[in-house]
Amino acid sequence: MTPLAILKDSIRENRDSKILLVLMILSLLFSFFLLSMSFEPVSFDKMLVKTDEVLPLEVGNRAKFANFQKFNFQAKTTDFQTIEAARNPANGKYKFRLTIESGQKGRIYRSFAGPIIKDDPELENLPNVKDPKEKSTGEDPFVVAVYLWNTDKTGERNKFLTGFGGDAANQKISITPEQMMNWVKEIYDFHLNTKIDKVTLLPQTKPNEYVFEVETGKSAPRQWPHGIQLFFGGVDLEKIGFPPIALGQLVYIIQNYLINGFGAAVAILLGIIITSFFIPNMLRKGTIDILLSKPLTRSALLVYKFLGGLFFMFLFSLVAVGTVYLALAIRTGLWNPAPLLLIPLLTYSFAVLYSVSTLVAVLTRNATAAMLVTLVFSALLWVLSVVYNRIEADKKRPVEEQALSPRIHLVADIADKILPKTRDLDLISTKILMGMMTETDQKKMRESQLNVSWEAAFGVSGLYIVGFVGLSCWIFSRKNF
Amino acid sequence: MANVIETEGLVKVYKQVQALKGVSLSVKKGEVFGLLGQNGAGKTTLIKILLGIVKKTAGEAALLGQRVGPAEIRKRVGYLPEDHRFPEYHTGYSLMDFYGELYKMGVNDRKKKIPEILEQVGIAGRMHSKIRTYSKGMKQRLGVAQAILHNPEVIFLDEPTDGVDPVGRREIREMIEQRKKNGATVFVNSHLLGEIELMCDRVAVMQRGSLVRVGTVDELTKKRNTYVIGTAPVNFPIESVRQAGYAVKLVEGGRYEVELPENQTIDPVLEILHTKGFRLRHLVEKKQTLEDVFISMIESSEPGVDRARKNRGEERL
Repeated sequence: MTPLAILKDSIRENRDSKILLVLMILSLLFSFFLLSMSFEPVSFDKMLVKTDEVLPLEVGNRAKFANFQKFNFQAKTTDFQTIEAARNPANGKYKFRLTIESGQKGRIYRSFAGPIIKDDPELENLPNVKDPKEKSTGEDPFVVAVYLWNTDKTGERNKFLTGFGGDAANQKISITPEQMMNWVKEIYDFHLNTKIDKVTLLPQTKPNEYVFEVETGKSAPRQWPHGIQLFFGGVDLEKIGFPPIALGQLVYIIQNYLINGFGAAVAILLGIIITSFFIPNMLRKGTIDILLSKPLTRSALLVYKFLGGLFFMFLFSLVAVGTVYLALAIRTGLWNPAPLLLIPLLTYSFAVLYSVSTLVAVLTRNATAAMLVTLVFSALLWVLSVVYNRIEADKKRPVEEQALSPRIHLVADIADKILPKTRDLDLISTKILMGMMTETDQKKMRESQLNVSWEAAFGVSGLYIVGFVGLSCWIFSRKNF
Repeated sequence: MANVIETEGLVKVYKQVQALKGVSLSVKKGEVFGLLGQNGAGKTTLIKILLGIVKKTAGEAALLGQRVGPAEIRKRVGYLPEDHRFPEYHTGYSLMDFYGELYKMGVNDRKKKIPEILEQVGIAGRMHSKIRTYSKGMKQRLGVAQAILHNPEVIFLDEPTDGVDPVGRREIREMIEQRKKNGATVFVNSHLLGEIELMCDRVAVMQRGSLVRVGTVDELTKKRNTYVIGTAPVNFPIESVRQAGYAVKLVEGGRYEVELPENQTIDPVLEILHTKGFRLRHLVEKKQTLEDVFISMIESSEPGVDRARKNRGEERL
């Protein structure tokens, strides 16, 4: 079968370029390194210690606030009990008492990012606070924290927190005991990865103290914080400053940043360089003459050769993504196959660039020209995507605050619609990899807020691939050799 | 006998250079046909048009009874290009296997035939070595092998013995003869006129994009109207023969070369010899080598090499 013959020939050509072998060996070494990692679930009592420190901090961090506030209250957990023990602490059930001691009324929170402490005489004259006293509602800081947590309008919450007014700032704050209990439940679930079955607010004995009895349920192991050890337990990362992290998040970070990010960039760069020789080599005088004397059409020859080039990226992706996936799955027990979709996605992204390389190769029969033009094209797409993101951000501002003219917005929109969407394909990979985390963990990630159209990403990119390869075939079929 | 190759008024123009100027040619089934010509005469262009590697500008070309172009016809054709370059990541065997697959040969067929053919061309012992380790002669033998692997009906060989040692040349000649016996038609381009003379049934000479002579080797090498005569006694009656209107000159071995005047035969000379009591010891029509013919043809016509084209404006359109 002719396509198979040319594919086998491409494999041989790939194998002959030792770079593919080196890349595969590096991937295997990295996978071996991953296999040496151990992931130990953190015990629940240890998590509670962390809770006491983090609880006031995390309140303002719902849905990724730009500012990170520490509210003026203290949290303390006591009376810890194990209701149902389990080998994996994530699967156990626990009970404890949470005591919130609220700070001085009116002094609500402190921001790490900006000087927005309400009624603080030391800071009230700082330049980016319009009128700090107008937010001085004299409320209990814990009550304000729960109120803000329950404010669904992110913008309103931001305005309140950053001292620029808004509905929340001008309203009289009141919350119910149910809202307080829900806050406890959600805050543990959202930020501390613990499923809470039951929360009870005990009768108040002190005016600024709130005591809750909390019972946990079984949590998903992938959302449970795990400590990491390297080299079969030889190096404990927590001891050198790396805190435990939810297992799903860790897998996501490795897959997305190391494989889909760094690894893919290196693979595509090397792929462009190596494969840029394939078609010019085939088109050399003396080589192409023999191939053209064989019983296959020129278009078929070029298309099969193009597919052979893609096979380079497919092989590398298969080995790199496949071995990393296997290593992580073996060590974490997370066998969700979604990351394996990276293999065709990377190959598809590469196909857009390789189609450019093919066209230049047919036009010039020169590997250096094919390589340089493809690298420039790839860099151009990247620069345009960065510029487009900036223009998009400008577009979302109120009209009076926009720095760019509507004409530039229009040009950017048109360019975004008609250019190959390698950036969007990358975002689709990220979205797929996010499936390794729980929905709650996904919400914490900035990427979860990115919108990307699968149809447009695959459709427009596919049109470019077909267009460039089609044009290459048309030129190739008319050339004299 | 059916023609397997046929061209009629074939023209090829590369930008401003006319490579073929209305070439009309036919090659019969089972023939070994040689095409001679200087560099740049258009020999390779002609073959490439027949194989669909180069597109013709005008005229007609047919291969195996079909117009050239469709891929399907090339299943029945083998080709060894001049200055071929095989992908060096292949071994001799894997390259043959790859080409065999392109010809849609079955796995078992390939497994059987490839070692056989490589044995025939004398490189079976190195068939699993990478091509980059082959000598020029070995690559040439491999080129011949890939051209005959699928048992084609027509084989185009462009300089088949280039870089091959004398033993290898003889093997290639024998291989061509064998193919001819099996009914294949072989079309050979070569500068080695001795090879052509030994191999080909018919020969064409190409000069600056046109065919200037076509015929059998005998027809081309026979020197018309000149005889070589040896007599006893050896004192040839030169004056008498000259008086009869013939040109005479002494050649090697005490023999005389007699050139006939226009519309005259050798008989009057024989009559003179008989009358004067000479006994005839040697009488043959004079022949020349193909190289003599080729060189004299080239010298008597316009230069056809690239250098000449560059120097001469009239070849450009």
